[in-house]
Amino acid sequence: MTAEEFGALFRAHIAEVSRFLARRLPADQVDDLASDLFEIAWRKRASIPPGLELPWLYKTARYLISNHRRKESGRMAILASLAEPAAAPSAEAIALADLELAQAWEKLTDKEREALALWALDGLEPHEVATALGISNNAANIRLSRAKKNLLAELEKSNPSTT
Amino acid sequence: MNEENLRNRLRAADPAQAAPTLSEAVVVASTQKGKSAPIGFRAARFSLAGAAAAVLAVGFTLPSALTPQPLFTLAGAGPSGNQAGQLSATAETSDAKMIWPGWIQYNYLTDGLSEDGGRGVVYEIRKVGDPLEILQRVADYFGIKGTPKEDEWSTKEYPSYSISGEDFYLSVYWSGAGYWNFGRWNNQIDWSCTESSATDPDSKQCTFPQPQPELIPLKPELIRQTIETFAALGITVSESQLNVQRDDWGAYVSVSNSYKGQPIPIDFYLAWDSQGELSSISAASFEIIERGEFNTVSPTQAVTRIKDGRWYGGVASSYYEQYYRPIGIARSTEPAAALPAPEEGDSDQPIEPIEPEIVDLTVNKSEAVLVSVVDSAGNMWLVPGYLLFNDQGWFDSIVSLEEGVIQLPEPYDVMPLKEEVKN
Repeated sequence: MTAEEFGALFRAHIAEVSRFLARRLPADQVDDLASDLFEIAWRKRASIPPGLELPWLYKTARYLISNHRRKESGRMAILASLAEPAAAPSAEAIALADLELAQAWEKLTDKEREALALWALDGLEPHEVATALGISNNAANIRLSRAKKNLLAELEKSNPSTT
Repeated sequence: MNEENLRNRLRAADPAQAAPTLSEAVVVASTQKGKSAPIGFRAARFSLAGAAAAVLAVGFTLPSALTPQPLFTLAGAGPSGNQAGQLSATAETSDAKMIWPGWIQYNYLTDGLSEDGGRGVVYEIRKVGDPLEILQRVADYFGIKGTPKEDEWSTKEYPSYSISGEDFYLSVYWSGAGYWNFGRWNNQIDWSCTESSATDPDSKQCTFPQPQPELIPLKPELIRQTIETFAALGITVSESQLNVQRDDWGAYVSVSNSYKGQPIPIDFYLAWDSQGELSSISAASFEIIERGEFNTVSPTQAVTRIKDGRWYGGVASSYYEQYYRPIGIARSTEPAAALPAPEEGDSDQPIEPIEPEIVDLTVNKSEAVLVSVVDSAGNMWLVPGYLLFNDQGWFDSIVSLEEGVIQLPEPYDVMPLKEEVKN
């Protein structure tokens, strides 16, 4: 893949990657992470599955965000103790428009939030969620199914009339 | 509410809809080897880091009798949330502030806390072994073939290595406590989907497999497998360390650790999938080195550190299981009123910043604990600290070492919310 081909292919994903990072990082850190992300993509361009460029970018971005959070979090050492990457949007990130939803969101586990965010906010289908999370299609389906069920249950608890 | 409505509701609450799109130059720059990305932030950050390093170097050249050197320098340039604080983060201290204009601002008061300081021991968590050998040992145990390779996201401070395959993933993070984790999945479960409409892409109907709880091992068997599996990998765990969770879709056993009777925030775990097969495991390879005893501040003084943001540390998950209750119900004494959902067609309307609500919060109980922090080289430490319980139902975990024992990162500058994020 030439630089021109790479540019044409990956420029198409700029908007999605911008939003993906904006949901998970403070605004002033998005540019740096994006820069790192596309540098890795260029180096690894030969091994990126054709047609799955966007889930691949999300998968790699999750690890970059996780590493970045560990590095930046002098006071949040528990992140450093997490064995798996954690890059789920926080409840605060969706709090602006829907407080009830935010309260239900914060009751979910990080894994559930990540799967749901990739599906609902980042617009991935379950098989793409699987690629982004580095898990099997079955595992992604089960995780998504659980997460939806749990989020709906939390919403039901907080406001039975709306669900 | 059906799934599509749920998806739409989440999308409607997504603030990143209005996030600015990155410059396409970031893609072009990535292909130009040897040239830096056209981003000003990185250069500015490196300059600041260089200046900080220079200041530190000057400090180290002074006679140690005059200027005691810090035991280590904490990582990071500032806070990024705290334990309970992922939920309770105040407007002043959380980086959530940068993407969230504020909700509740806490005014910390104290009631009945001790004003006596004390002494506490600092421990270094030192990684043990070679990361590639650890990978190989785990791979051999689970019958995994493959060559370990350094991950794309590996850095000098946070190196990581992995072996991956079609149905498994094995990795080691050679920072902190030296965590490794292994996961594998069953590709045999059939998910059948049919399109009920050729023109409507959302018409796909899928048949989901039903849970088979009879396949999930019962608690005694989960405990036996946990102890045996870890033993085979050279890690001794006892039943008293285990917390077993089991439902119709799988099971999970966490292994808590402690040192000299004090819980420490380093957990291991095992998980079983919906077929009752061992699907993932995680543990760490470390030893604990005592690095000396130091003076500590009183619980009352420690409360003043909450707002600073740089004194937070991690505590064992057992404290959360013991004490934590959801903060959502404690945010206000009044029932939370949901904001009206944005109406269709209103997506271009700016979202009005919410003025923070000022809440007096009284810290009325403390408990001395070991808290974990990470230094600038990615190493983990256990240092004396307090759980500071408040009348709103959660706690903050704060380092209690006297000033100067460890070097704090530069104070955190709260940046005003960017206009483009607001709008």
